[in-house]
Amino acid sequence: MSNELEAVQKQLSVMQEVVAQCQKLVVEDGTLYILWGSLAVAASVLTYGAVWLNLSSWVVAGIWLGVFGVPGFIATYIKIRARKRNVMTFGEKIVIRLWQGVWCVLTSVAIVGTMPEVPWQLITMIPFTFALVYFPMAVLLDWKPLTVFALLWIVTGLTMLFVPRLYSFIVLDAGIIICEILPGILIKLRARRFAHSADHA
Amino acid sequence: MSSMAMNNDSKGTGFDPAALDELLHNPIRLAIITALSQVDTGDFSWLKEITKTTDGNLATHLRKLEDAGYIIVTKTFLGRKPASFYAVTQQGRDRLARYMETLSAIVERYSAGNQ
Repeated sequence: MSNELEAVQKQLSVMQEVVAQCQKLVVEDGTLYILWGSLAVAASVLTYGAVWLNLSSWVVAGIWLGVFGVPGFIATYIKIRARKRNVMTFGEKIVIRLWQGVWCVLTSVAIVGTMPEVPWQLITMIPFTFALVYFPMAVLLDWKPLTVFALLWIVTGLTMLFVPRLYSFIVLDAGIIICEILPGILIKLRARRFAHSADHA
Repeated sequence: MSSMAMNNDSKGTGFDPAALDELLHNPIRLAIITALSQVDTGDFSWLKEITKTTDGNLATHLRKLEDAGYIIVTKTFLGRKPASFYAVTQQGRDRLARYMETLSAIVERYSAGNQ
């Protein structure tokens, strides 16, 4: 083999090694799915209790702000700050923007949707927002099952529209557990497997 | 560039080493630009981890790539600490793509020669 070919192969192996190292940079580890899902279930269960006890809609709005909006924002901020700050992947940049958008839309909808003069059906924007975000996420994470969960979110939203208001929160909770917390756990397991295999590569 | 590399050959091998981008032919600079082409931005410590080189050596190579317009640097503060984030430019991407084409052409030519 000539020196020239050896030199070329050496250069190619440098590039291969660097690309393999970059593949260890996981775009999403599922934490935000589990976090937002758990907060939404907690807020929804408390809302269910508040409606059952005939409490003011301001209390319900306060529940969503206090249990979902503020802790969600703080936890997401901490999570973004805690990530490996010395490198930002293209996918990560988009995922962060998407989650920031989700936070803005969901917190506004959850608070405004509990007001008496606003139609309660506005709350169904929560599952539809998740469905819309899941489609690009599925491409970014290269994980097709997320599109199935997006479709399940749409089914959840449609079901919420056809059941009485009080039961719609139960449907929302079921939707969050199946379509938000479950994929979060699956993504976390996948990210761990991926990191493990990258370490052994 | 790859066709140039194939034709201007003094030893009759069909390859002209001068046609390869000299800046990228250095393994550390090649590692830097390959790493940056995979991400949006990366800082000095991440590039040091990738290239496994010393601070001084890395800084020299980064400056050469920056001077050639292959990468750009953004200086910012993380808390109170100054930080430099590097990103590959379009020119850098084009040069890397051309460099890869040239390498592939050489490998292909050798493979064809062995058949």
